[in-house]
Amino acid sequence: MTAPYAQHCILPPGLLYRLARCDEEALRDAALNALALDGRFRLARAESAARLLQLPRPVTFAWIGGQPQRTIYDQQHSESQTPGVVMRVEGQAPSKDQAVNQAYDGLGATYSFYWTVFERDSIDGASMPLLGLTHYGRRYPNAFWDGAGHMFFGDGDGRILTQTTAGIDVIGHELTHGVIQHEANLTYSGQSGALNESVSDVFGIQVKQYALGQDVHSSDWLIGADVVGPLLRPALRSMKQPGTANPYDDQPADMNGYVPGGDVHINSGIPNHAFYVVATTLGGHAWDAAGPIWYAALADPQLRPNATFRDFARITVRHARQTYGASSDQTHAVQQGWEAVKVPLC
Amino acid sequence: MRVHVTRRGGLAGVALHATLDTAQLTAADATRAETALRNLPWDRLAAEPTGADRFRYEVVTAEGGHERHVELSETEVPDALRPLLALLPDHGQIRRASG
Repeated sequence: MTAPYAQHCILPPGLLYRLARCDEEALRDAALNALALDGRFRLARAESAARLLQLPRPVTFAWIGGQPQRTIYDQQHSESQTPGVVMRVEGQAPSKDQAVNQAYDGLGATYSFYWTVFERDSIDGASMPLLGLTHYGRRYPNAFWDGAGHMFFGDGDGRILTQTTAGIDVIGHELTHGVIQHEANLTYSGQSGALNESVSDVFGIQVKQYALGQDVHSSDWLIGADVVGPLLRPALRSMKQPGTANPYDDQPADMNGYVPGGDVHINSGIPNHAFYVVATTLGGHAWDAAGPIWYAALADPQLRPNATFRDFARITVRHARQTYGASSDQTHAVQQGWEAVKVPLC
Repeated sequence: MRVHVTRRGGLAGVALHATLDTAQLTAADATRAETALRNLPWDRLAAEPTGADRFRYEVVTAEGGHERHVELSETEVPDALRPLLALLPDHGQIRRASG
């Protein structure tokens, strides 16, 4: 299986399509695998090219944006990947189901943050409906973004996680995975995967701070504090002190502790802490300057899907310089942030 | 049939490990699970995940005298194996994500 797969990686799609129809099973499987991989590369290239073109947004004379389009579903404990029973749509009164209302409110708070601070109209910047699927699975200890426009929320197993809709930062985190998919589309492994996770934490915590009116000093900078079960108390991750959030937290706080091949949720502690340092160095609200610099970097066409920490760091410094000036406090704070986590800028 | 199962990934990013036995299931579920286990695409890594924060499972068996591994994304888990994996929350031990 391995050898033919490797050989076919450089073959043109036309030949792969012919091989995919041949009688020999091993050859057919290898061709189908190669085609799937080839398709992902082509899609990534097309997305990247489209972003570089900076296509103009449609011109309209009507006032648009500023209003989410939420639909919350009850998956009734199934693991179906398609939306279940509609429980609450935009503008409807609260349901009797607490998880449904938490998802509705959390998605609303996240939409409001992105719209008010960045004038971003939903996940794709173009009014994409927000679909929250609650009560996914039985005792399912997780929430995830499926890459196809749906945010799934489990009820938790009571040990690792409890009701996941209770965490507004968790909802902000999952929705941000959708935003990332529509911007840099950071590949979900290695450093780009850890960046993907970190950017979701960075905007997830800002959604919580914004909703609670917290400044950088009154925030606890903990991710998941409202959804952890007894085994992971008090939180999933700490942006202030990575590696200290719970007894099993092994996030490094700087590149000296970088875990080669580590899960994307491990090394994300490094860029997480950089953001914390930048935001707390500047003071005020995280979304005053640190958040917009991170957002501009995420939306920058030069941030490629396979970006490293260093690539991302350099783009944040460039945006700080362009927006605030080379000798500004903001630029110095961004440089200090990356220096604190030992990510080299040159 | 005994298997070692490790669930990784997810929002929490911790690993949960357990040794599970199909004997813990009802006879009908056990038969289906054993068939599903024998038909797993052994010695293969999980497919590229779509989206983010999804679980993936590593299954290891020593059936037949030699150890075999397979990694499955949660959408690749056969339905017949779900009753066995449902034992994980109550029997699993947390490990650090890097463990």
